[in-house]
Amino acid sequence: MKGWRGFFRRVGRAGTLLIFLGAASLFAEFLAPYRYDSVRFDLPYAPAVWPRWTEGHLAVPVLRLADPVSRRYEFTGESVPLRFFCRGERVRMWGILPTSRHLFCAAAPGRVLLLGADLFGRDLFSRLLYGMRISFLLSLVGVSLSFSIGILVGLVAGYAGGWTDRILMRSSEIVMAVPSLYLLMGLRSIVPYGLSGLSVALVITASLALVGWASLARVVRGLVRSLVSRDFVLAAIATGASPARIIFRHLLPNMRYYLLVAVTLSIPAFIVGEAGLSFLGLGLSEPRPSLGNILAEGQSLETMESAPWLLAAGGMIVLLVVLFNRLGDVLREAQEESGSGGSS
Amino acid sequence: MIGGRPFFFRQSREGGTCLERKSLCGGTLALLTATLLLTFLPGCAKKDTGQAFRVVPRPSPVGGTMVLDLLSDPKTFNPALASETTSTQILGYLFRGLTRVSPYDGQVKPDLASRWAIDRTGRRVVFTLRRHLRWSDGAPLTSADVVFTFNRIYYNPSIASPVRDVLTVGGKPFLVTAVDSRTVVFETARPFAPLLEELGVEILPEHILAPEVAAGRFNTAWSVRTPPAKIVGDGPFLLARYRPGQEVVLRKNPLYTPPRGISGPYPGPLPYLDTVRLRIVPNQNSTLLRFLGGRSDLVGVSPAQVPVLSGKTREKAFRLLVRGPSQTETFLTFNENPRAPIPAYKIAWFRDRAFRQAIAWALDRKAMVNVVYNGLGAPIPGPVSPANKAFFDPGVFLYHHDLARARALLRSAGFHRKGSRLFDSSGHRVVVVLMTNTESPERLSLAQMVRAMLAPLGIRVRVVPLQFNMLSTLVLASHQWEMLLFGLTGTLDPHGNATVWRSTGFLHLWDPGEKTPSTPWQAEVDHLFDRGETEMDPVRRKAIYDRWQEIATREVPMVDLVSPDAITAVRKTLSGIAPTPLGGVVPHVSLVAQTGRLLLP
Repeated sequence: MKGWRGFFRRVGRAGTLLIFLGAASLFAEFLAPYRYDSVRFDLPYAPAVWPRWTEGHLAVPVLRLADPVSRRYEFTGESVPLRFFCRGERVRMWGILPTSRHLFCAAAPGRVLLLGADLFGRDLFSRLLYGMRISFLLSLVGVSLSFSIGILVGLVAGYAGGWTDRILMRSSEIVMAVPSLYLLMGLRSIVPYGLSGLSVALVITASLALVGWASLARVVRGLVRSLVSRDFVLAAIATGASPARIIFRHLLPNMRYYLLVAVTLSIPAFIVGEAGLSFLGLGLSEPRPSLGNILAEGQSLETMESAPWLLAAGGMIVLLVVLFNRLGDVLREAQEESGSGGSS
Repeated sequence: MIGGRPFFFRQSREGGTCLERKSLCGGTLALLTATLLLTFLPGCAKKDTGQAFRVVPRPSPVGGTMVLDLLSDPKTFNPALASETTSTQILGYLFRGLTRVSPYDGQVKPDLASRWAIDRTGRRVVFTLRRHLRWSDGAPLTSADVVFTFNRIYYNPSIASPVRDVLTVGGKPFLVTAVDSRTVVFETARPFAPLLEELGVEILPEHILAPEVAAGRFNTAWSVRTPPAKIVGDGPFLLARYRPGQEVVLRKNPLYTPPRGISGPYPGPLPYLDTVRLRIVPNQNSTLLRFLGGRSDLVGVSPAQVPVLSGKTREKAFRLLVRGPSQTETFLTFNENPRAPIPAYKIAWFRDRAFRQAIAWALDRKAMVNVVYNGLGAPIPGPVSPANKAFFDPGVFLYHHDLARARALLRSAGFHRKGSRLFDSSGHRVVVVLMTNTESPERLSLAQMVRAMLAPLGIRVRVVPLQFNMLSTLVLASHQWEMLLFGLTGTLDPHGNATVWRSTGFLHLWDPGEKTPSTPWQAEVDHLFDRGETEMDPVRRKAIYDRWQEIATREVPMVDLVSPDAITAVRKTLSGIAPTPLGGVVPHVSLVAQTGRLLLP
């Protein structure tokens, strides 16, 4: 128990909130009342409908499209009860386990819309949950890829020095000089059109990662260069330790705080990167939700007027980016504290 | 909105300084969100009412400027070569043909010609030109120009003119001869019903262009780099200036002779306007904002934009004219081409009439109109729009949303369900790729709706949006497509559909390049178009095209979906504006006048 409390204290409020959001998106199938592609063509751009306390229980009022031209809605006066841990739409948890249990649901003519609906009457709250999961997933994949490459190249270059170092560093500079947006657009156009949206997104993230490793490699190389001249590394070399032992027992542990901070700071780049690509129509494609393509729907003048709630996806991106940056700060502060308290 | 105390005075928990980062976090978030909402919420802009435009009358309704927006730069100023809409829109102000089509009823009216006579065989038409016609440089416009235009330009095999196809009958060009300076004779190999309508093509000046044709330079003549003064026309306006990426400015043609039957309410020569300024604004949002800012006078509005405009008509001094379903036809079609590089079992589904009909029954077109066009549109039953009253056959029945019927049809065709999936008789799961072009947000939405509406049948549709050029290569050249959601602009005369419906047509999408019609109904459609082309009697002609519409709705090689309402927003200062069922809100551009001046707040 104390360990958990200590953990939450260490990651700060930002980290706690991120863990909460991550868990929520992980269980999107259960928490979201509807599937991401569950349409209601009679509710285009319907405003938020919250459950109300009527006659001793929570009920969801039923909406009706009063005027399709101005998209004006009115309540029919009927309502359906809001139920918890109920059987609703059939989904597959993580694409595997079939289930129809949801945290809450409302029967057919009614629809709980915590944040309103999009053009096809799909629940924005549900879509944001699923979209956030994609953002988390892709940024984790992207970060782990770019970090594996970056750390490997940085360690080799820094430890080996000489020509290896020069070749690796010059090639990382070349990679950094590539304008990534154009590279991505080019990559997107050679991916065959028949691929599903998710695999396109994975290809894009992988390509983002393949561009993103270079700056990390340079920093890691610098850290290694400064560490290898320190006494404890020289001592290890003098005792005849193998390079692998030196790297894994001496170098990596001394860089772990920096790497941890770098991870938390580079995740936002992937979140924004995915959103930007989907916004341009190069990332995930309909009906799969992503924060970027939900935001793209809200970009025109008419949607801003009739469905401003679609911009919540933009708010979500801002929130995630701020939280990850904040988490990075918290971790760095913790490192500085422990650094000043511990040995040199 | 941000809370009681300003965030930067808040004491941080660690007892640090005011601007400590931890305490900033919550505040920054709130601030960011608030800025986001404030910038984007248009509700805030609505509240100020001191922004109303005022209209004051001008001393004379004659003269003045009309400002319109173009979505892209013109590609050419050569009417014989122009094929995309921006160029043709501009050239419509600069050039005219022998005839024109009334936007009210689709009747053919005189333009350069003052009258014509068709002889009894129906193969010979004698046109008489108006008196005193002159080109904008002062040279007389005579029958020699007409003969030159047809014989040396439109029928010249070395000139890439997109209109040559419609100016032929049975592969043979018209025989065009001049009798005297005002009389031209057109002879066709066999009677050609749409002849008068097709003769609306632009007539070009011989004295300017003959040297270009002789030197073999016509394909590059009158490009967008030609000095405006060198472009000599006969329309109501002249090209005054073209600045790429900025604007095209048109000036009144003082030598313009209006066609017979066009006369306005005000004294003075036509056109009334001195200047037409066409600003190039490549973004529809900006076009709309420019109109709302009082910087343009007339703008085409998509149904989705109506809610933005409808509340502001009084404040921004404009009228919103809804003209009913337009000629645009959105449809689904299937690759029935047995030579296409897609699995043979899929082609077999698409060639099965029951499969196509099942899809037609499964689609809820009312929902499509409500969702994609905010209710401002109409389901369309077949290839002829109900707006085209002269040829629409009200007897064609409309597929309505009936899933039970769709399921029964699929069962009768040997398809069966396993759970929520549909399989054909040989055990292949029914999975279809539906392509559409990314440039049109409406088509993207319609494609998503088709996907959702076919799901209850067990048909899995994957929507693949592609850029227009890539899509047309796949569809027209490599035939590598399965289902296509696309749109075509209808023509008034059903003969214009021949390119799509004839088995030899250039846009015969579902089975291009078939040597002989592969189905009896296709053979009958071919025959009907051959007959419709030569039938001169309007009643019998209508009967021919009615029969075609019946076949089209029974066989559904194209499942017609919906057509948006044509909507235009027009500033209240403009007169000479009248919504017409077929031709927009400007019955004749020379009659448009700027009767008022707009005072911006």
